[in-house]
Order: sequence, then C-alpha cells, then structure tokens
Amino acid sequence: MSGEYEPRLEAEVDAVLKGLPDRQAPPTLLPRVMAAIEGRAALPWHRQSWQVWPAAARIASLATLLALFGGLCLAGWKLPQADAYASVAGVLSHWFSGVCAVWNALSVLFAAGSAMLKQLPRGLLGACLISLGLGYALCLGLGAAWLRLAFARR
Amino acid sequence: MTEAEPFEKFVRDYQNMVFSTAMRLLANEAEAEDISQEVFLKAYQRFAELRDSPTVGGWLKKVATNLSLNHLSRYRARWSFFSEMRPGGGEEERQIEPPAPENLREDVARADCREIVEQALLSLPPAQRVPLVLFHLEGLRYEEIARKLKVSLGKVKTDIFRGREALRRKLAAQREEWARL
Repeated sequence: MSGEYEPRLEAEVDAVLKGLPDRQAPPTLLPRVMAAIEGRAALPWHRQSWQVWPAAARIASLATLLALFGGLCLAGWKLPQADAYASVAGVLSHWFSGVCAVWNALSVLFAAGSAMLKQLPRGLLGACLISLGLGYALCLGLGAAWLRLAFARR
Repeated sequence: MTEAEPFEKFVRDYQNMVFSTAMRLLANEAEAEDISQEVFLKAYQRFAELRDSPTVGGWLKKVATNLSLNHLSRYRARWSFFSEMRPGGGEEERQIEPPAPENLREDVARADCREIVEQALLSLPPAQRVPLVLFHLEGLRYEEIARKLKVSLGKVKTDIFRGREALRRKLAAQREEWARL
C-alpha cells in the first residue's frame, strides 16, 4: 500500500501545485523598481559601480592604481638604500624601544622554556601529550553525550 | 518612447512570475517584494541582452530562487534545527502505513480553492515548504535540492514527504468543512 501511496501522493501534489496560477504582484512593486533605477541613475558616476564608469575614468583609475602599486614596489626596493632611511629607522626604534624590551624578554623566556623541555625525558613528554589528548577526547565525548541526552526525542 | 518604457513593460510582463517564485519560497509578502525588486534591478543591468532572449523567464526564475534561498539561508540554521527536533519526526514517519489518499485534484476542482491551496502551502514550515516548492514548482531533483539547501538527501526526501502529507491533511480538513456546510 505504502509503495503505491507515495507515487500517487507525489503525482496528486504535483498536479495541484502546478495548477496554481501566478500570484498577483503588489501594485507597489513596479513603482519601487522604477524609482530604484532612477535613484541609481541620478547618482554621480563615481558613486556607481566601477563597471558603469565612463571608459576614460575606468582607464585612468586603473592606470592610477597600477602606478601606485609600482611606486610602492619601487619604494620597498630603493628606500632601505637611502640615507634618510637610517635616520627614520633610528627614530622609529627609539619610539618602539619599550616593545623591543618586552619582545626581548619574551624571547629569553621562550628560549629558557625550550631548553628546559629538551632536558625532560622523552617518555614524560609523550605521557603528557597523551594525557592532554585523552582529556580533550573525554571533554568531547561528555559534551556529545550531554547534547544527545538533552535533545533526545521523547 | 523613453529608455525606461521598454523596461517598464518588461517588469509588467514578468512581475507576477517573479513575485510568485519569491513568495512561495519566503511566505512573506514584504520580503518577496524586496527580493523581486532586487531581481529586476539585476535584470536592468543586463537588459540589453535579456530583452530579446527566449530564456529570460528561466533566468528571472533562477535569480529569484537563488536570491530567496540566500535570504532564507540567513535563518536556515534556526528552521532546520526545529525541523530536526520536531517530536515524532524523522525517517520513522515515512514507515507509517498511510491511509488511502484523498483525490486532491478533485478537491481542488470542487470549488475555486486555489487560494486555499496557496494558503496551505504558505502555512507549511520553511523546512517542508522550500524543498516542496523547489521540487514541484521549480523542477529541481532531490540531489540538486540537497546541494542547494546544504542538507542531506535523506532529509530532503523526508521533508518533501512531510510537506506533501501536511498539504494533503490541510486540504482534506477543508473538504470535511465543506461537507459539514
């Protein structure tokens, strides 16, 4: 019965839905669309999308962007060789000396920590890593079990 | 004839179709109108190539469907969650031995109840209505619907089955009401 029921229901629903005529669009739709088009057309060209800019403006903007990109590449290449660069770098390093001190301290701490880890037996390190992994898996398992129990269909 | 006039005629010709597509997916008149406006603004950008295209209807329907689904996807996590959690839902529902289906076409032919069918369709939960509309009105296959909605094939089949059943029940209830009158 179920084998016949599903295809028959599908055919019935298909016929009913396909027999529905289009709905009447609200009378406000056409004025809204035309107003939006007029609103967009009234915008100055530079506030519209780049594709509808005048061809000359598009070429000019593209050339400007390329020139800027080329200038940045050239500056990145030539600037470190300039005399002014050293003095600017000196001023900047003075401004950021505090950050440099913190960075140095952190580097020393990191080096000490890694030296300490190297002294520890490999077995102990492995055991620690396995414990961490097991703890993580336990948390995941417990969380999943809680979700199943909390949202089980009754 | 001004430049806007052919486009105005174009909107007039297709507005009901575009609005119906959006409305049946979204079940909200204001949102369907917003989506329809967006569809026609996209069409305006390509009007030169669309105006004489024989596939313009299909293009408009596809854009309306995609924009509506994008709009729905913002809320999809919520409605798919509730669809999954509905008590008694799931695959097991499909295994219940069903009653003999009433002839829906006869019901619809009995009176001018297209509006009732429309209302019944719009009152379905989005998790059932959207795949049902995509299957029966947009002609998509189960696999395409699953891909578009980013859900499993099994869920699409179950939701479509539930949607058809719900539609049948709503129309049967309406028939009983007529019988009582």
